[in-house]
Amino acid sequence: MKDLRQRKMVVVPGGRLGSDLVKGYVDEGFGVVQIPDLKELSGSSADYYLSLIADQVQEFIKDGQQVVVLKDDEDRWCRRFLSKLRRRGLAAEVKSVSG
Amino acid sequence: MNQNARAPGIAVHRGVIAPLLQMLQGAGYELLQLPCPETAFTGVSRWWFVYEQYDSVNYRRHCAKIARAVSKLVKPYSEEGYDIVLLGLGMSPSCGVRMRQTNKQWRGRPFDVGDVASVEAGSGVWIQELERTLKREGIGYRILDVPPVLIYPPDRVPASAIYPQSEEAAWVELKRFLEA
Repeated sequence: MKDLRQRKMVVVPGGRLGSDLVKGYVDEGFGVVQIPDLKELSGSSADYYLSLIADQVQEFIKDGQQVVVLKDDEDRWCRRFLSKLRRRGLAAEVKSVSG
Repeated sequence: MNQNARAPGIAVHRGVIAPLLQMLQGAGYELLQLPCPETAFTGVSRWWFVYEQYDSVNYRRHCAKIARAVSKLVKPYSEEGYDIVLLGLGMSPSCGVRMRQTNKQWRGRPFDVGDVASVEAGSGVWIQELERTLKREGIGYRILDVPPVLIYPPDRVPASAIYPQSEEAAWVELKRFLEA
């Protein structure tokens, strides 16, 4: 049984999901992890949700998979997600997409 | 959206199920990817699991907590009258809607389980907890799971009338569901 996964993924701020940039990653075989707009959640719930995404990304990094994070400085959830990764000492490849 | 979150050995797509993503975007759906409760709970080096193994108090608690957060994200759309569609993964012990993998003998010392999946009618643990929460919150939705023929190796696709048996029929079913 052959497993086709490429062991690489891109973490995407919610609003960028339909962009050509993300389409390019998808065409190259990257999986997608979405950071949604969490404005409807209370502070603690949003923190929990971001931690849940960070938990998964931590598992992928621990497994030796390639993780690219698209960094949008105008997206507060993306900023908070990245600070969570930093606090955990996780080294993901970060690419700025701001502006 | 991310095949890397699946248990090892069964991914038939490279990263994203690209035709499904294109179908959803083409039909005008805004996407909310739900966290993978299995990956967050058991990591990526997990064995294949069946329903009975995930049907535990702590895993249900984990799923219910995620479901409460998801319901808060979805509720404003529900109140605005959006068509909310949930897409599960056919046969998954967590994300299956119509069928789930089952085996009451899977426990203890690891052994070769073969390629053929043992399945039964019913939804997975995550879907059960998510539906319970959405109903409690009064959030209307439609639900379907991606047919196994599109997401599992051929040997693991059950010969069941519940699911389309060819890829072509599976895409037709998904298209009809999304356009309904």
